[in-house]
Amino acid sequence: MTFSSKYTAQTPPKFPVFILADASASMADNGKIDILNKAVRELVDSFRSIPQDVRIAVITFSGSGAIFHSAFERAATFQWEDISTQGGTPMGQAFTKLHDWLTDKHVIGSTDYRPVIVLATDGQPTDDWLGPLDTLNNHERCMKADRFALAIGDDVNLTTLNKFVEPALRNDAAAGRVYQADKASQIKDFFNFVVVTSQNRVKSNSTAPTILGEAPTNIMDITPSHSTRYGAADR
Amino acid sequence: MIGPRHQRNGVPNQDALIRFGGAYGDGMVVCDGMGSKPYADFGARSACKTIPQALQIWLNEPHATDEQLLRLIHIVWNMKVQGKGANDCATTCLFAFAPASGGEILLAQLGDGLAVYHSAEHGLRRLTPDVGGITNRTTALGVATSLEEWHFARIPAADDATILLATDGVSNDLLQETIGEFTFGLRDQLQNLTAQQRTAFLKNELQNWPRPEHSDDKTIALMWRGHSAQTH
Repeated sequence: MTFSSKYTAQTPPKFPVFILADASASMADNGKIDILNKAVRELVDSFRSIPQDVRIAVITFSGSGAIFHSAFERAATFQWEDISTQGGTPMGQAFTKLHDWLTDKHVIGSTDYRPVIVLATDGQPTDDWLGPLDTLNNHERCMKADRFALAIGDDVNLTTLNKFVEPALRNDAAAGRVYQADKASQIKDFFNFVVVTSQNRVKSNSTAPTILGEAPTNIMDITPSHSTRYGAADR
Repeated sequence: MIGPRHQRNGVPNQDALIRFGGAYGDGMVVCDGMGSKPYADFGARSACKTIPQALQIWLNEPHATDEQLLRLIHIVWNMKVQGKGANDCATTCLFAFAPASGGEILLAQLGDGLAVYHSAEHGLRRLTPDVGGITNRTTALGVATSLEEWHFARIPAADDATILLATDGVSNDLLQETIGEFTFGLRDQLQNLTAQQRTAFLKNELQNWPRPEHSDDKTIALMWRGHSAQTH
């Protein structure tokens, strides 16, 4: 017991991972939701293999609004229940819910790792998204999270996704990325990439620059000012 | 004190500190070279050397402004790292300086870390607001593009003034609500020890840092009216 013990956090830092998952009706097409469910389940399995205290929250947005499908649970004990689809794409509600959690010091403390946020969608927001996203982007506690977005198909509002990753890019050119996948099967590749990048993050520390995992060869990096295609020879 | 992660990876300690003083006053500098930058340790050491040099030039010009001091710091540091490239040497920089003339104490911070001041009359003042460790946007010498990224204050040189500087390896693990108690509690622990005992005490604290799975390099420097103590 040292002098500092009284003044220091006594639990290991949490590593928060937030997934915003589009569960609108269109995600049922071409098996997209099935692949998303499988990808998240595999992501959780991957996080179980690392020693840090990874906490995973999944917010779905659909005809039921934005809801916490899984609320900030330890990866070690996380039990995934498949998402089902219905209705529209209330992405603005999901941003508001995320903001409420990121700004709650009881959820993420000052001594925790900075969060990773993943947004996967195949459509256009059907609610007022700009106001909630501005609120999310302008709050100091939300600015330093790493942000990754996956546009599934061609019908995605890229303006929304670019604006979503913008604060992360301002901090660290590697900490925000937008990818585009044409096929449902590429969702899994994107999630694998997020896992590797997140593992690099926790092996480093909360404030070090992001070290990206090796990007999949079949999805396209369309991050503003970084539009590099990775080996998309089949396109 | 080098952190477990750098020790494991064979990377040098990227924190640096210096205590300086003379007829012009007394001060201390704490720097934390940025993560993956190849010459972060060199950048941090260079920043420690920069502050006393810049202060001496600045103090010789009675009409020089605070803004000119900060500009001068960037110029001197940029000269020191010119051969390796400023961005590859990026480092945070925190310093405190008490002029011998007895005027106000200067407290400055660029980037992550903790700079606090305490006196009975003025209470606890923190140079950067408590908005949570995940929220400080990373800036540094070699990264900053505007003087507005500095936090700078002139604070009263009270008889019981205590100043603590720490890199984020320490500040990210401290419970925010106990930073005041930590600061003056540390001063109480140190003030009756010899210089050698103070160094040993602080080394023991950092070597046995209580946060489970802590990983980062750690530096603490404490200065109070009449004495100072430091280790990293």
